Amino acid sequence: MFGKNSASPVAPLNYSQINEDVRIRGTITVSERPVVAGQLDGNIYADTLHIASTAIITGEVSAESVTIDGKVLGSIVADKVFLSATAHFEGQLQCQNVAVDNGAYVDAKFTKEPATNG
Amino acid sequence: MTSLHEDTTYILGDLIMEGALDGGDHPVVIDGQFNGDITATDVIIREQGKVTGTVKAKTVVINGYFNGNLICESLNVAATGIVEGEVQANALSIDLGAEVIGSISRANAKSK
Amino acid sequence: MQNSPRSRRQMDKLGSKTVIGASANFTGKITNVRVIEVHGKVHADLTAEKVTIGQAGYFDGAIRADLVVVSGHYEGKMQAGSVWVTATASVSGKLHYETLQMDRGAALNCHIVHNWTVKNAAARSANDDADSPLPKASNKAKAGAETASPEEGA
Repeated sequence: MFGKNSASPVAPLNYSQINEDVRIRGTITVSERPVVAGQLDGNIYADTLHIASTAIITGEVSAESVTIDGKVLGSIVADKVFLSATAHFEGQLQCQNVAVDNGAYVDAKFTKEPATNG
Repeated sequence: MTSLHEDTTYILGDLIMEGALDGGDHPVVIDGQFNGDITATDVIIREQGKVTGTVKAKTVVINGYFNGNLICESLNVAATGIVEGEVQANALSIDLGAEVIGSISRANAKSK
Repeated sequence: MQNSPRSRRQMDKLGSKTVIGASANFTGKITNVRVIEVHGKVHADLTAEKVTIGQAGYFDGAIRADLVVVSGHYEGKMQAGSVWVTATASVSGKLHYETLQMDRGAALNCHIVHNWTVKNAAARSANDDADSPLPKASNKAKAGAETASPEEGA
C-alpha cells in the first residue's frame, strides 16, 4: 500500500525500532515486535519485545515475551523473559518462564505471574 | 580434583540430614534431603535433592529444590531447579524451565 | 562449569553410599541411612546398615548398625552386629558387638560388651545405669540370685 516495491517478493519488515539516540518519556504501546535501542522513561507494552544492549528502560515492561540485552530498571511483567549476558536488571520480575545467561546483572524480586495472562 | 569419593561430601537419595554441615575444601553433592546450614566451596543440589535452610558457598548448582537463604559467588539454576527464597549471587545463570521465586541480589564482596 | 564431561563422569561414580568428605564437619541428625562413609567429622546419632569411619574420620555419637568398620576415631555408644576395628582405629565409649575383629594396633578405650541383643540390652540397661563392670556376670548374678536367694534365705 505504501511501497512501490512490487518487484520485492518479501513482505516489509514488521517491527518498530527505537534507535539508540532516541529518548522517550511516556508510554509506548505496540502490538508488533518492537526493538528498543534507546532510552525510555516510562512503560512499554508489547507482544514480543526486544530490548537491545544500548537500551535503558526505567519503568514497566509488559509483554508476552521479552528479550533483554540492555538495562531495565523497574518492573517486568511477562510470560517469558530472557536476560542475556549483557542485561542489567533491577526491580521486580513477574513471569512464568525466565532464563538468565551467565554475566547478566540481576538485582530483583522474582515472582510467578498468575496464569491468567491477557 | 583428587579422589572424588573421599573428599566430596555426598548425601545419598534417601538420606535426611538436619543440622549444620561444613563441607570444608571440597564439594557437597546432595541427592537427599538437608535441612539446616551448609557452608562449602561448591554445593550441587541434584535433581531429587531438597535443601531448606541457609547455604553459603562459592559456586552453587541447583538441579533440584532449594528453599531458604543462599549466598554465593556464582549460581546456576538448571531447568529442573526450583529456588524459593533470598539469593545473593554475583554471577547468575538460570536455564529456561527453572522456577525462581523470591529475590536475587548481588552478594557483598566477601564470600563465606 | 559443573556440567563438563569430566565432572559428569565423576558424578556418575557417586550414588552408592553417603560420604562425609575428608574436610567436612557435620553436627546434627541423620536419618534414613543405609550405607555411610565418614572421612570427616560427624557429631550425630545414627542408625544404619553399614557405617565406615575412615582413617581421617571422626565420629562422635551413637551408632546402631549391622556392620561397622572403624579406621579412625569413634567416641560414643556403638551397638552393632559385626564390628571391625582396624589398625588405625581409636574407639572410646561403649562398644556393643556380636562379632568383633580387632587388628593389631587398634586402640580400644571403651566398655566392650559381647553378644548384646535387644533383650539383653533391656536387662542390662538397669545395670548400665549402676555402671557395673561385667554385665555378663551380672546377668549370671541375676539368674544366680533367683536360685541363690532361697539358699541365702536358708
